[in-house]
Amino acid sequence: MMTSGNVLGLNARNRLFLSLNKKEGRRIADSKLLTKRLLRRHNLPTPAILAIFRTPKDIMDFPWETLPDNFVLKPSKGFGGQGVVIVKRRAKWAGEWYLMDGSLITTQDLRFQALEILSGRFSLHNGSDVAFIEERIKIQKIFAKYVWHGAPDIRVVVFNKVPVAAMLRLPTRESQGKSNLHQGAIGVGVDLATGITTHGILDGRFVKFIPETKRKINGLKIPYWSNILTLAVQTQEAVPSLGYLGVDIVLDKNRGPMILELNARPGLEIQNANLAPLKKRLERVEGLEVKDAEHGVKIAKAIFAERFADRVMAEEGIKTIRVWEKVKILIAKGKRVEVEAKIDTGAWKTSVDKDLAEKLGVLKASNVLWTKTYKSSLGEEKRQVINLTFFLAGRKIETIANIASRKNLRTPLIIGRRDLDGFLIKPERN
Amino acid sequence: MLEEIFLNQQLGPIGMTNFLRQAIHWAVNQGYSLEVLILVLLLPLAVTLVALARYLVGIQGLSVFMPVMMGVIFLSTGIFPGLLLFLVILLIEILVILLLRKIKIHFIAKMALVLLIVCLGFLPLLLLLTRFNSVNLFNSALIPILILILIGENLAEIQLRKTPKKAIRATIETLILASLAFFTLNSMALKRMMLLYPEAMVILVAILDIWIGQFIGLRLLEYRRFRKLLKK
Repeated sequence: MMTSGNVLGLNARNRLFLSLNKKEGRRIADSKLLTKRLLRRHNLPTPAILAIFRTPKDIMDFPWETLPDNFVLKPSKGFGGQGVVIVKRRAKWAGEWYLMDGSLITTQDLRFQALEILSGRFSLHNGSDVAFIEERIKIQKIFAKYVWHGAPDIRVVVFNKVPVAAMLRLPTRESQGKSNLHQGAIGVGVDLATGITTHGILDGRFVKFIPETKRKINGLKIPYWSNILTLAVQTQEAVPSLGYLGVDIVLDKNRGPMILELNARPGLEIQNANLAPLKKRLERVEGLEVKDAEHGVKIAKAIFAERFADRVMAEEGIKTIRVWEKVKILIAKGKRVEVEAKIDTGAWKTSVDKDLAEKLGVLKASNVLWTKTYKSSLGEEKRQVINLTFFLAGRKIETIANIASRKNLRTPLIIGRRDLDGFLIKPERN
Repeated sequence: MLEEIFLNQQLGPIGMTNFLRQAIHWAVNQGYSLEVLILVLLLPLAVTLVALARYLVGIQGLSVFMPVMMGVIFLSTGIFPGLLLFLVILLIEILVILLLRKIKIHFIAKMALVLLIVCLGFLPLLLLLTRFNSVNLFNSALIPILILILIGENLAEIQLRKTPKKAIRATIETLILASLAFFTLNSMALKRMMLLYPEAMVILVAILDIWIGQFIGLRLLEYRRFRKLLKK
């Protein structure tokens, strides 16, 4: 006998979880412009708006020829990708552009589409609407072979400040570059712990390969994974009136993760894409005390990891180092200096030689966090504590360090236990 | 049949258990039609069954209003002619909308234009009906036909925004719900029940509504949608 206990159906979603989304939050999520305004107020990254059309006059007066080579025309209150026009690039003549499928669109067509949007044809409740032009995201190279055209995005469902499920949405030829599953995009489950893709679903059927490119769907590691999850939770912190929320995040080639839009009624197909029932996950997260976004992400990674996650994390998680290592200290943006260091598990904090610190310029007053008096067998001693960023075995470590005189010692830098999490130390001589 | 039951009905003094029957008797004595009165009482049941089909089975259709409205219309045209008529209207409307796709005019103006073409399309039908001496058929079914045209237009417009597979599914679901509404409103057994025990029926409908309104289990079709998950 099959049990329905763990799968979230429409009835349960609507009654138990959508009721957590208050009117104010829904109002924000249903309007892409309000969403963007809120995100900007909280300093959360979102693609820029190039133009807003509130009246037909705005549309007629707008200098379309000043637009960049590619852009997206959207209804503010649209849903499921309806009414969106993605312009790929400028065509030969002024006032003409190519769409994703290679067909031409003119300024006149765009004006007409914008007017249609204002009339509310594509809006959620068929009321009047606002149209806007958004910059187009440059996609990460890693996705180039996975999408036909257009930008893939990552849907993260957040509940009680914990990401409970994530899905990569890949636009296809059928979806015309849009990433909505209802328009024919592929939904791909993503392991929350590692950001590695698992199963694909297209129009309700499980797929293993991208139809156009024949590329394998699983096993793709999404870059910036932790940032993506953290951003999603930060979004919920910015809109606490949405208790059960879908956050759509795009990855820009240069700027990394950005929030595209919010969804106050996230769909259920994400369960199929992940082959993971949501209700059980939601119940595990409900009522947890979550301090902040990082904490929420940590919880998600710990309790919702796929079976393969341990192995992947173990492989990339533990680095073996020796007692004597060369370390690169970051002294200015992009400028690193190589320094000999001793790995010292007997010390808690990392220490830097005073002369070296002065020479590198990391001892300037703005970088000193505090000064503390230490008592030791040698009497009282004043020590400064500074911010320090260094690279050890290819891993970036941002930490605090003591300043000490290490004039007669073998290395000007010792690295303490505090910064050695995730390393395995080989005690033998180099 | 209904009349017979009605005439044989013995009612005691008015009270909690027979106030509806008393009301029906009073209304019929005032000259209101028994059929229509029963229909009014059956309508909430039809909508309740549409709700059951949605929340219990997962047949969504498009809105609640459209299928119930169609069910009422089918009462006057008959179910099979009604379904056939509706499909023909829908098909013509989809064709006209597709033909007019290239014309860039405002949305509602375009829908009016579609309607104009579809209505003109009825002229040949009139010729045909005159030929078969069935002018009365058209006259009696005019308003139902007009409403079907309006519903069909609405449906066609929504359909064209979806992928063909989803559009066909939504149409089939709407037709299933319309048939469900029709069979509920047309069922002699239910009519009899409503005439014999209206008070009990009303309470039953209310209980069903409240129960289904709180149901949070999976819908029947969701067992299919999530079958791989459920197997795990």
